[in-house]
Amino acid sequence: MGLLGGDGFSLPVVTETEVVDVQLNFTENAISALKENMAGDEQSHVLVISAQSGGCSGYLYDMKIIEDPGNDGFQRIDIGGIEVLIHNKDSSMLSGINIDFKETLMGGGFQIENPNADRACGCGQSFG
Amino acid sequence: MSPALPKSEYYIRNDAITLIQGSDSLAVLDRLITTRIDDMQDLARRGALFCDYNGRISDLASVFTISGSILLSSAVSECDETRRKLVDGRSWDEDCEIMVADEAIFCISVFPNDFEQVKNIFGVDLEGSPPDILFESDEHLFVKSVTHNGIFFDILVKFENLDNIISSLSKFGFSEMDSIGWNNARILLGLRQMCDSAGRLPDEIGFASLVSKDKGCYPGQEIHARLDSRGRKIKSLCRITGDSPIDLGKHKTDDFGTISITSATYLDGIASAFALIRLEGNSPESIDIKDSNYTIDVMGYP
Repeated sequence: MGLLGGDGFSLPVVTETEVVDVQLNFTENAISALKENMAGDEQSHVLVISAQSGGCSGYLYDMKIIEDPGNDGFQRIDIGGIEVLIHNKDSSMLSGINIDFKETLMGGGFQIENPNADRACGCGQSFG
Repeated sequence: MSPALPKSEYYIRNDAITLIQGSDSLAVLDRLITTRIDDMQDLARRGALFCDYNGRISDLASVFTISGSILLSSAVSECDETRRKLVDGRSWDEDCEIMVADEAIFCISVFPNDFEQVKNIFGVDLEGSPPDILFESDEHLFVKSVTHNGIFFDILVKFENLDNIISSLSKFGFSEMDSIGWNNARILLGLRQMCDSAGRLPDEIGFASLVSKDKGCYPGQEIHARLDSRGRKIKSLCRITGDSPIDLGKHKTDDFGTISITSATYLDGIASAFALIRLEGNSPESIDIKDSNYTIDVMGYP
């Protein structure tokens, strides 16, 4: 059975994450850029914005355009005809974020400003 | 007189053991620690640090890669917070399960007379084996640790086999070390614990080699990068050794100002301690504390 095959393993006791009703604010530039990236797949694909550990400040933003996962754990927000999904576990960290899009050669792309963050990394991808 | 390593003794470590399973387990852990682990082979061990966003140490860990799973050994005092970081830090689409293994897997540090003794008991030849590589025998994993002051090895054993291992060790004349003996051994070997490291910068504690400067972002990385390029190490963790017992806490000295004793033992007439001393780049050989003289070794890793 090996070392990992025995008894005595248990799940960690972790406080339940607070779930809040998510609100998102996209600028016109961000909506245009999102539509361009969707490339006509709005009916089948969604934008998922999530948070995960890492980065200089503790958490990293992640944005993915994927096929609709059809998962109950998400909150769905319609942004200019595009469905944007936030997982309930990330809702308290991401509700109220402002998303902009900047076209610059260095550090351009989607920019997130998060009113829930106490601190942010210089590159703008990490918060805590 | 120098302190001596224990012989034919073992110590059951009081570490927090966490099992991390799933195809994304390495990625989830890698984002949280200072040390690069994405290049680790199977059946290997590597030291790692968890730091806060200020770059200060919040937990000390050993990472074991075992057949696609990760076993994390870390400080009991910090395990709730470390496990919360792991659980909360998973993305919604990552395959990573966190399990508490405190009651399932134990780590025993063993100080043999020689490695022939180990071969006789467990049938494992660790003498010529490299450090930090895991060897499987029966259902146990063996790993050798080589420090500047000596060699010992750890056995990872599951709860069901703990009594068997202990009786095998006892049969060959090993005795269980108490916490004073362990404290003495770990100070001699340079094994730092959270009492020596909490809230300190890795460089101050001699853990610079546990910070991988090429791995990209992790909590505290911005501070570590800035210290690396512009910083100057003020305090350094040192092992001090002398004849008079030393009390934990702060002490005023004539030559180095206030120093902090973070761990201390007194065994067989020899006092050993870890002390944070404001060396400011100097390499003194001794220090006077309350009319007693102690030799100084600046700690590296391990």
